[in-house]
Amino acid sequence: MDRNEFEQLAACMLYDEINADDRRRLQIYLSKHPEERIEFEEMKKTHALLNQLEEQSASDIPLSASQIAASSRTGKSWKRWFAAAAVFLAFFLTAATQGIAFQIGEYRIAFGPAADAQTIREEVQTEFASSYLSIVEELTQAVQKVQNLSELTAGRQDALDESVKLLTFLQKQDRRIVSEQWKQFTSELSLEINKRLNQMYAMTTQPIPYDPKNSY
Amino acid sequence: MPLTDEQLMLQSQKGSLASFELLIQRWDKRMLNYFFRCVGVSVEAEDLRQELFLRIYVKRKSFKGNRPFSPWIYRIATNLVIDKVSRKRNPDMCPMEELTGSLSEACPDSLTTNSRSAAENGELSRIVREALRRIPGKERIALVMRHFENLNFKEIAEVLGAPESTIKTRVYRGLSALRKELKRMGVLDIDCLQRA
Repeated sequence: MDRNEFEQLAACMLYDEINADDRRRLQIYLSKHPEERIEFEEMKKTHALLNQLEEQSASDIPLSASQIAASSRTGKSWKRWFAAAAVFLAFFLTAATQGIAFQIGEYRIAFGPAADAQTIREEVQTEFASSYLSIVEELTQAVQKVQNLSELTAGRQDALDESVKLLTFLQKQDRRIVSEQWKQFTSELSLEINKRLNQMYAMTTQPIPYDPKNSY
Repeated sequence: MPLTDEQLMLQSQKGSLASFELLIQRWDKRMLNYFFRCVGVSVEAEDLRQELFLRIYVKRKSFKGNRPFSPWIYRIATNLVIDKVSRKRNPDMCPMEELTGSLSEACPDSLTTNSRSAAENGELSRIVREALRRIPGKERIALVMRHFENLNFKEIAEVLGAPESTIKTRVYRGLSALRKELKRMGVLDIDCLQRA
């Protein structure tokens, strides 16, 4: 009998799971091997000591099936999240390899291998032109209209201001011109009269100068 | 005639929470004590107990009605213990002084008397439990199953998926290691206790 067999038979003996033949074999072996006999006696004492121990519980708090079922639902919820994450990952991988783009309003998200900058620019321009050109044109026209109207209004206002200024100036000038002209006219007239008087009265060396203030 | 564990499991599979409740009532304390002896810490044992019944509930449909329930539940429980023990690389061992104090002082007088109190027995249980924690995991589980759970060698072999001869060796070596541990802790004079 080797050491392993001794240990196995000893365990069977301690727990009373041994048949008669093995029991006899073990007893013969122990009688011939005093060290193992002492060891076996000590093992019997340890075994007996364990039998003396009282049952000790970790806790008296009972567990309920509803509590377990509720906990399992929490686990299922976690599993649902995990499944959702797996679906998203699969979508992301597919998008990354195949190329997917979608747009919500003005926001656009695209997945997949990136094209070169020129191609992207052309695509964006084409897309922009097809989608937004008419709107941009309408907008431009509207802006121009507003600008024209503004210019017109501003022009009118300027013209009016200028007209008023000019009219005022003219009025002033008119008054000044009239008086100046009158002076000039009377001056010229007096000169003409003097000239004719000189012609008529040539013998007069010192003709009497004509003064309108002294006229009759 | 009360339903067997296997029948209760089959009813649980069909959605009967009452059957599962009955199953818990039958096995709760037993499994709690099993965990308590294997891990030696009350809080951890309670966590494992809860985890065990949660797993059973979640995996209830994987139970086959033609197989006995006992090895199935012990297999799940033992896997939980192994996971726990393997995760715990540095178990917080109970200080030696804390363990030895009361019993080493009490042994010569009180433990040798025939009127050893329940409290003293409880203290001895605590020390044995701590000694159990200090022996190797495989031997500990086999010993706890054989000695405290009263499973026979064949059942343990079925639960652990190991040959019967291996289980016998583990149980013997576990018992031997426990004895050495108790002696090393200096709190146990087995001859003294045997007289009690």
